Amino acid sequence: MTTLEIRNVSKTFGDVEVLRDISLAIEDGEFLVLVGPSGCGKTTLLNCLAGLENVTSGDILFNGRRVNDVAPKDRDIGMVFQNYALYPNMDVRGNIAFGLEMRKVPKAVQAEKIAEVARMLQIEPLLGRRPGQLSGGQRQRVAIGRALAREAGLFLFDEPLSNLDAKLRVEMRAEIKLLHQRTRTTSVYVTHDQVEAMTLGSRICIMKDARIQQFGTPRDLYQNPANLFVAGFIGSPAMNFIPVSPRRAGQELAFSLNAAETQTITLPAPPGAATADLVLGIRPEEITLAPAQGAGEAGLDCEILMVEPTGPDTLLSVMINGAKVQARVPPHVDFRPGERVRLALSPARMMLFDPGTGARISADR
Amino acid sequence: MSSPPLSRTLWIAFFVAPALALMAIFMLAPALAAFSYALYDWKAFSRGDFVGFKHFIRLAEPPYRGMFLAALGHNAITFLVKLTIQNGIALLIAYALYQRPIGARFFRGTLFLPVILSLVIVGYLWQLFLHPLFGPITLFMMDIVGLEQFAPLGDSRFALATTILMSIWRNVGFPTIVFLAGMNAIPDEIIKAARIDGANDWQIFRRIILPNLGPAFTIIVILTFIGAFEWFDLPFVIGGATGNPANSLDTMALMFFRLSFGDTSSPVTDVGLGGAVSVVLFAIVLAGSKFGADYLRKREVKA
Ligand SMILES: Nc1ncnc2c1ncn2[C@@H]1O[C@H](COP(=O)(O)OP(=O)(O)O)[C@@H](O)[C@H]1O
Ligand SMILES: [Mg+2]
Repeated sequence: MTTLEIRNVSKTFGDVEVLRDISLAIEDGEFLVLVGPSGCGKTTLLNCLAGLENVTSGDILFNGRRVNDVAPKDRDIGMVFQNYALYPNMDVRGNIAFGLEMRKVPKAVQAEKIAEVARMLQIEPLLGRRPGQLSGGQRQRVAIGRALAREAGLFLFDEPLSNLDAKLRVEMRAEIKLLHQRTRTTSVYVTHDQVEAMTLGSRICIMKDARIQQFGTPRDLYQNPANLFVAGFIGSPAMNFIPVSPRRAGQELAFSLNAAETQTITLPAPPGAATADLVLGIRPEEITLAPAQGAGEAGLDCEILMVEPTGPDTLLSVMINGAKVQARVPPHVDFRPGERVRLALSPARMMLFDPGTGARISADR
Repeated sequence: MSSPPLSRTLWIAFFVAPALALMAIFMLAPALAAFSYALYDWKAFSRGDFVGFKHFIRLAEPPYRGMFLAALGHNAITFLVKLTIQNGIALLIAYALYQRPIGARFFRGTLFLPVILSLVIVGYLWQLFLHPLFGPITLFMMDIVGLEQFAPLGDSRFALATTILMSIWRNVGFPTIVFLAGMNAIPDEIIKAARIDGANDWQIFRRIILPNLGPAFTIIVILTFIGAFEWFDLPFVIGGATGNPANSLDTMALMFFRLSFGDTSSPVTDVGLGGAVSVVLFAIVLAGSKFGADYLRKREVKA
């Protein structure tokens, strides 16, 4: 049972700034996902939480208590590593027992706990094997079991699924989610995979270049990305970005999405927005097929460049204002490259970004 | 599995043959020749009659039995001392360097320096340090510690121990590097996991690092064994072909050399008996290495 707060944490290795002014807080029982591209400092932040690295400045609080100077073993944490980090010289039972033994848990209790996590993770037949005799998925189960057995107040996961094949990854992801629903142990989970982040996290912290880009619930991040990076990172297929050059028309910005300027779109002008070039963002699933011309509703006439059926829906690639745009449309219409299609881009679905700073300037939805 | 095609086998033979031929000419043939020498009588270096196992029987009887057993005992003591003390020190130093103290690179280099130093130089260097009249260690022991006299190399009670210490000084860098490499090969994450599991430094060393040094231990134990049982160089530099003082530095290799090529005090040679010693020495080293390696490998952790 742990609440976690990170206050203005910075970390440098020599001259390299790996974390800059990281602040966030989560409640007891939450599942926090740290997500971002490789090298953005996720592992370093996790190691700081574990006490395996010291922060350069700032504070880390567990249950409101500052733990900066508390040794890893006294932080009441369990950790699952990317490369499993099982002890090669011990069998599975020994691996799970090691942490209990170090904490002088009585032998009988140890056996009970081992049996319990082995049952929970279905690794009972593996208890007598060495890590070298296990597959990747089995090793990761054991690693999770080892963290679980200790009944720590906080679980730390560092890309635990990234060494598994795609199918196993999806299975284990679901299992971790179920496990968390069952135990409700506060967890911090590092990944570079936005799907894992979205599916697992009660809250997600997106990092890039040593900094937090946005911290919020999966829905927040999806609906109201703070900047171009977050908008492009969350969601698959990724959000479309279309360069536009709006004119100011009273309280509104007006711009056109094709050279012929046959479709002009007006959006409420965000406060202080210059009429310089902007980036319009719209998600593929928010572009719909427009009714045939003349049916009253506005539509944008585009040439289909590519058709990618995925099963549940089909991705159409078109060009809008010189940018490649994907639309996710129902699968029952048979589209062909070279044909024309009328797409509806609803202004209510659009976001505007400042291309210089990357910040979103349109209002929250 | 199907056997590889013939052309492939031929190619492999083509590439392996030169190395095999060199080995046969320069290693296997001399070894067999040495064995055959033990089966003949010799007058100086000219071969006489075939005498079967006569020289082996001579070796098993007085006076040579005592000499041989004493030499064998010195080899065994050397092995045990180096196995425990040299490798123990190496393990400690390796662990210290593993913690990456300031100057780790410097110490690593310094430790390895004597290993690449010629043994003859090492021998003379230490003889100078221990010179009974002006050796700095001698002066220290007499002037500061207050001993009446200090001449361990001239005293048959201490000569072997002192020579083993020199050898340890010279060789300790090698197992150190091997152990250090073994420690560095253990993934960092495993050590971190152990720390989170609540293990202290000693427990990590004892429960995680040591058991995962298996391959390093195997190679070091075997090399220590071979080195100790074939030990020749330092005893020869310090004590000559008879292993002075009073044969206290005699080893099997030294005995073989003395019998085969004579020594300064008695130029008489006994090549047949020397050959017998070399064959027994070879058999001991071969059997010891083989059984040792098999036993130790079985105990290694299969990752
Ligand atoms: N011990 C270290 N010494 C120096 N630089 C480091 C160290 N650990 C990590 N870094 C650097 O810090 C940055 C962030 O690393 P890391 O936290 O591992 O990123 P991530 O887990 O997000 O991929 C990287 O640029 C990495 O090179
Ligand atoms: Mg990482």
